[in-house]
Amino acid sequence: MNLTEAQIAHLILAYHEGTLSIAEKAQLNALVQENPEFALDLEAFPTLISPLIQFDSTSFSHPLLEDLAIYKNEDGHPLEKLAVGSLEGELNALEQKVARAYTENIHYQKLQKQFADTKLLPDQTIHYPDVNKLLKNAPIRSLNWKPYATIASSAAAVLLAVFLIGQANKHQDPIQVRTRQQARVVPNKKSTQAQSILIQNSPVEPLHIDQVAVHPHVVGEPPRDCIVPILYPALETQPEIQIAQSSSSNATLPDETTPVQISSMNLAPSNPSAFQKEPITMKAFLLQKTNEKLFGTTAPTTNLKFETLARYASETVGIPVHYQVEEANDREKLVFQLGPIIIEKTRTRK
Amino acid sequence: MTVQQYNECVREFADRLYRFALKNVGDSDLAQDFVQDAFERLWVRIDTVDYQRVKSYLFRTIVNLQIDRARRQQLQYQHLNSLPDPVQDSGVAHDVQKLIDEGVAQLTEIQRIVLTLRDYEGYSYQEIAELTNISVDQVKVYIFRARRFLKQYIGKMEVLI
Repeated sequence: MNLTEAQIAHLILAYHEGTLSIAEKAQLNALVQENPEFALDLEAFPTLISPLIQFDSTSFSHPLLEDLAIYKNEDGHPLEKLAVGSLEGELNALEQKVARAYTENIHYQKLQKQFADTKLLPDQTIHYPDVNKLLKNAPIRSLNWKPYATIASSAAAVLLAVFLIGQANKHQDPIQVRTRQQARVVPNKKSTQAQSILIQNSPVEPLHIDQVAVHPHVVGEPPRDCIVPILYPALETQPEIQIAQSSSSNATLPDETTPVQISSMNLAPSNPSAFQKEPITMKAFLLQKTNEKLFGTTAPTTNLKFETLARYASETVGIPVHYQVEEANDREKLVFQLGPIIIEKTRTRK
Repeated sequence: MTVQQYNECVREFADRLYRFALKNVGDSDLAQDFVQDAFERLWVRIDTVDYQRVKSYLFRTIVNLQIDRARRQQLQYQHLNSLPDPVQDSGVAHDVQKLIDEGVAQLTEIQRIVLTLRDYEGYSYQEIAELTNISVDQVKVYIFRARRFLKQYIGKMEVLI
């Protein structure tokens, strides 16, 4: 092919500008095939190549470059791909061989340098302004509580129920037993005449009226947390026994008392309504209020307590709660079932 | 992962994450926010993140933050119907490093992320693909295009200078 120097320059410039016609492209292909050194001239001005220029990368290639597999589907001259692949260390054995063949080529070296400049280098002088703010000192406390929530709440409900019932029994029994067995009838406005006579003839002196007003019916050891002060600790006697003895022998009755009068005596230890008016301990007061809130009455039965608590636990926890009383001859068995938890309690019936 | 290991991660990766984020977003405050956010997320998931993979976790978090931000910005640009041209506003560059910085700013978000992961942290193509959730071939393409663009950008600027 005979082309003048001006024609060759025109073809090369047109190639760089991307304005080659089909005929000119064929001329340039033929020129490069006959004179491979022109292929390097095409890369002599890489900075002028617009990134938008599209060209057939294999047209101007050296035969070795035609077999490159790296970045095969990308635009760009094979030498560019070779240079980038070399920089990235992604060349296969054949490509490395081609790269070595071009090592001495000044244009390839220039390409390599240009691509080496694109390597980003981190600025080691740049530091995060305040690393200490990112540090953590607090210990990690992570508890996976969800699986245990239902069981824990169920157990808490059961323990609360047991505690409340236990407290109720613990408090009620001493008072009732004491008042029934150790109560001493002392005169007050509601005492009958016979009672007054019995009390006056007893070896223990009756309480003063003012003291009676403070502690009208119950004499003996007051509850531990009684809000009424202990006035007469010496009155620790067995009043019922004395009353019984008095009523059976008439020994301590005055002479003017007739059997009819004695028989007509109302020896009931106390009026229930009067008993309810006795001074109440703080503990008993709180218990009554608690019962009232929880069960709707100040003196709930055990069955009512269990039923209410079972229903309450079932509604709050959301799992089925069963309460059952199995009665035997003189014993009854309470069965509290709360999900997988079963609590059984056996007690003697009164 | 223990608190001690967490603090070791902070000391080892805070600067690197910050440089990476700064290179990509070009705003120190935003880069700090990204780093802080990444470590906060790590702290929240400290029981589940494997200490051996914590670096990947942190960089992936930063990458996701950047991509999210790029998407938001893209929406804003679409709304304004104008794209910034930092090259025209940046004046004359004085050295190659500054040219590269300007050129990097011209890259697409994903090309910039891939290239910085490659050059700053030395991640392999496979690792970058996992971090950015794209294919390995796509990573290769992005890196080749980014380098080619930078080479041409630097060449153009040098000629202009």
